[in-house]
Amino acid sequence: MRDTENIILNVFKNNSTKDLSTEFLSKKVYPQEYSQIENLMQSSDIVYIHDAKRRKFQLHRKLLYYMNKLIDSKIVKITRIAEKGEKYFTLQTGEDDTIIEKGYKTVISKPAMTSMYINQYESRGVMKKYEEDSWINRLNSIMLECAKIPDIDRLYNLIIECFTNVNDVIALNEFENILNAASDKTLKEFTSKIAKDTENSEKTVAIIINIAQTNNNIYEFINHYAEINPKKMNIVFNLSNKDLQKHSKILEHIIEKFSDSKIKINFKNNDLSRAPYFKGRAGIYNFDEKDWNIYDKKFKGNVVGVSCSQSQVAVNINRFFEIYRTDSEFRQAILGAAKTLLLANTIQRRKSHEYFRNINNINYPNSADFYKFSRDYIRFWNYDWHKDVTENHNLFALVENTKELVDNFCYSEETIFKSCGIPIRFKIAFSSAFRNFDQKFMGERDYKKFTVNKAEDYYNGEIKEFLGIREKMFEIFDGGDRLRIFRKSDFVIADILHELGIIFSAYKIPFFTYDFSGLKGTVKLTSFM
Amino acid sequence: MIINEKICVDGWKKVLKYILDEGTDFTDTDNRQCREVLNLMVTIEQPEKDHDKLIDIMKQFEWIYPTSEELSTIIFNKEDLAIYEYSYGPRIFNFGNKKDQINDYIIPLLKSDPSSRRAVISLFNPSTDSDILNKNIPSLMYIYFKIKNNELICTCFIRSNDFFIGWPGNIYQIYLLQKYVSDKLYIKTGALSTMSCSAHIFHEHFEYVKKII
Repeated sequence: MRDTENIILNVFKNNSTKDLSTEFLSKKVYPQEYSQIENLMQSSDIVYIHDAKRRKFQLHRKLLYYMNKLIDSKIVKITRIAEKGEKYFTLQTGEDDTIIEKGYKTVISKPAMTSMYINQYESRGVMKKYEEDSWINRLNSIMLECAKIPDIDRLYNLIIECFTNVNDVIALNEFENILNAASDKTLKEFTSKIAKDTENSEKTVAIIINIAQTNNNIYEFINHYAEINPKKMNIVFNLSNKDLQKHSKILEHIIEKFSDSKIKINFKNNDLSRAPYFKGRAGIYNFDEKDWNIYDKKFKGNVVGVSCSQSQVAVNINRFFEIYRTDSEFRQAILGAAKTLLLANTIQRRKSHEYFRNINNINYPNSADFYKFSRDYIRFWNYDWHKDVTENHNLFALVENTKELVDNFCYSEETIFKSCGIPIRFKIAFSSAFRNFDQKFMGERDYKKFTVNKAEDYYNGEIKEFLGIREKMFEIFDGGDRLRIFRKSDFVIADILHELGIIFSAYKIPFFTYDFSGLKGTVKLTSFM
Repeated sequence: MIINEKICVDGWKKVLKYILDEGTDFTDTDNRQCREVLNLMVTIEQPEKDHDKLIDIMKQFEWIYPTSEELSTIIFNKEDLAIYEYSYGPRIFNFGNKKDQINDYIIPLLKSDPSSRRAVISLFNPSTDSDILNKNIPSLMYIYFKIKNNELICTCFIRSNDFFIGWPGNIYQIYLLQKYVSDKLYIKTGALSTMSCSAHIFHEHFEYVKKII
């Protein structure tokens, strides 16, 4: 196959389900020529503009010559002809087709039609797959065990290798192992590089730090992190109630630096959950507590990485109940989502050698351990839990009994497949969705913001009731949830430590975020010191 | 108990009824209610007639049953796919990354000695499966091949056998293997027997079972 045809196929490879226009293809196939044309188009001289148009026309003709060859070979087809006669093309191949031509091998994986159970919900905008183009051939989230990674360079390389297999987040568990051993300089370089790479690749890296295990390196690391304020990274600080007092100096430093830079601070309460929690673009991820106990006893120390989530869908609850009315319809829809996830997993299994080659090498020779604790996610958006407590109880009950239904379905399917000699793991976790799951699908946020001005607020009746509801949600959402606390009004750091103490001791909230975006000015340590 | 039938569907229905009527109830380690019969032997005289029929029946229900393609892949794919804890294919065709039990043993053995009683393969690996913490070990443990009246008969030993949802897949897979070996030996397939140490049905499936029988 000629080089140009191969380049065209590679463009389709990355856009296997889309219709691509002649212009889009020209831009990708002839980037240099196209950029020259664009420069000419910017000119104010009409002669240059005419020249640019002529060159663009020629470039399209050149591309169409190769497109016609691919059409003749039944590899692509024209889907439509838009205004001014511009042609749109798509792959003519079926699911998971492999195209092999003279000397070149181009494998184009077209996501299989796994939507049969949720078609009607997708078309009505109440259900959405996460990153549809890669929802099967990439994992949502994985976690790397820093304790098993010899140094910061190897960690960096591993993260980059994994980017191609992940469509949301890579978590770095027990990052203190790297933090304590690396020099300030290498840590700075690492953080800056990851900050840039995550932005370029549209991926998230979540750093998990056990405060109690850190040494003095954390101070400089926090300073640098606050300075660069990475857009696609986040840190989760794991600590227990006891650690709050014991390590208050580190916490003061974190609060001061992060609040000044308006960086959200995520806390996980180790007293309530041993399993890691981390934040991705789609929402919160975690591991099942029982699974984590097994992992802790049997696998920890032997594996470098584990998969946390394979595929996920989100449901817009408010929109769902605008269209469908009954609880039974809701249960049916969620069961449909579960079946869709099972089909997605089936394809992942079949193609795991192709899709996850890098990943399978991480734990080699114990490659199977990578998937032992993985789940799929069904996430919920705009469910208005706070509006009417009585009504919420109904929704709680509905989500709870739907979860039971889904758990039974998963269990039955595991039994069916195991009985047939196919020992699959199939678990579905429920969780809330973030707006960034897909901003267009989610629409506007319809949540009440939980704003705190002072520690006493936590004793206020309304807030106590609200937090009670959130505690209940944490119980229902076995895939993790997050309480976001918008901190307003001026404060001294001691205030925040006091507030943390209240949440840690009085509420069963395993994971929460302090959001300082509403603050004005900078925080002072003065009255505390 | 020994049950003999000509075709798979009849054998399956007869066993399901037998377990329902004669089985004893117990609660398994996952706290699920089962009804079981111990040491149940079923012989299907002509499995070639309808070895794939039971899968079609299973697809009529609300769950998702593995496809014939996946069932076949799992028994024939010798690659150890990371996403499975274990898989029949590698155990049969690449046991311990060393032994192709079918092509390097069963077929040459039966070619050189058609009356051999040594043609048995093992899917059970004590070095990894005999572990108290390991719950995921193969149910299908041994398969025995024997040439009788110029037909290849096949007997397999299944330690734990969900007769309602598992056996349809098992019989399909084992028949495919029986056919593979018989083709290589240029003989016909004969009877297929399963010996199930625990042949059981979960209580939650009773309703479906009753519909079938």
